[in-house]
Amino acid sequence: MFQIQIGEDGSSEWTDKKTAYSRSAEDPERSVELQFFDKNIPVFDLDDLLRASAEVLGKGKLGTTYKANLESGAVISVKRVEYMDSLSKKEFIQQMQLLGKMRHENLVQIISFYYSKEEKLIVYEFVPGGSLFELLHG
Amino acid sequence: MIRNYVAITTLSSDKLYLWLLENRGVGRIPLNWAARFSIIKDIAKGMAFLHQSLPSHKVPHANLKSSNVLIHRDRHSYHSKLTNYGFLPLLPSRKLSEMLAVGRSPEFCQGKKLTHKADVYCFGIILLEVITGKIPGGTSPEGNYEIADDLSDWVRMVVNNDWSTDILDVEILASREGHNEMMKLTEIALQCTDMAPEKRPKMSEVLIRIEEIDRTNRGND
Repeated sequence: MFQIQIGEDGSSEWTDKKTAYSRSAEDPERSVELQFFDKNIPVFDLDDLLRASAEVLGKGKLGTTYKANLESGAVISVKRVEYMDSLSKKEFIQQMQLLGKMRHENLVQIISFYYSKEEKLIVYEFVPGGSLFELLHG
Repeated sequence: MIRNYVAITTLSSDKLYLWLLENRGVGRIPLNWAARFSIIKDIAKGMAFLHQSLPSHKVPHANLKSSNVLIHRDRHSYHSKLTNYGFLPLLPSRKLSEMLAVGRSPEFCQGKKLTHKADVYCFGIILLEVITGKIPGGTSPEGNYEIADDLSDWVRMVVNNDWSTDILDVEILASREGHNEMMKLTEIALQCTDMAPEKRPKMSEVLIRIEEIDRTNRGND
């Protein structure tokens, strides 16, 4: 089991729960609003996300995807995006807002996102059945 | 690849089946044709929607591949949802966009500009992957699969030799009632994977044709 931790500088890592869990997730100064696209989805904040127990779903070229179980019982998928450090906050947010507005039964919905210089997270709805690749070649 | 092919033609069909299964996981549940067709139709619906919703985007999905198609099941059927879409504007350099699925399209490799048709190419590759059960060229996560270098060329070769059902995944070969659909989808896949982007159909046309095949063969109204 893992948890995400975000340091005061905004950098974060998913660490083993048994090891370093030094910084208090309850620190109100550090609480960061996540932006939500859908009013019907129960809102959670970054601290909820960081407290969630998580497991690695897959490691792709662009980053690692986790399945996170929130304390509220909700299950979501979080992608930590790499290789986007040269991107400005504005560019990232604009694209996420555009993509987050889309609704279709055959698209995995983007629930929320987080941007800091060191860390970019995209929160997706969790789809339970694995990928087509696993289904075909597993 | 060729050596393996020659070797397996000397085996009986039972042994061939086992040989092919051995390349997959132990305890694997075969994925039947109805499930594959339903998954394909859902991908086409998602792609047509993306292309319609983001007309000004160069390549709306840009990262369409089987690991970015997520599956959910209800009691009766399989459904699919596309993920990791819309990343091309987030990866401004050529070196970075090469990591996306469109990085394996002919136009990208030739340094030409990308359009919606690069997504159509990736869709065609997925179709071939679902029909043949082969992994498109490149490396698999564990590196223990048989890898075809260029799947679309391989399929073209087989189809042109009138050996069309030879391309089918062994798991769907026995569903003879589906062969007509499989061949029609292979035809669409070959058009989608045309080297020339302008010769590929639009996603909206692909969806119409797949829905038409569905209506004709399943007797839906």
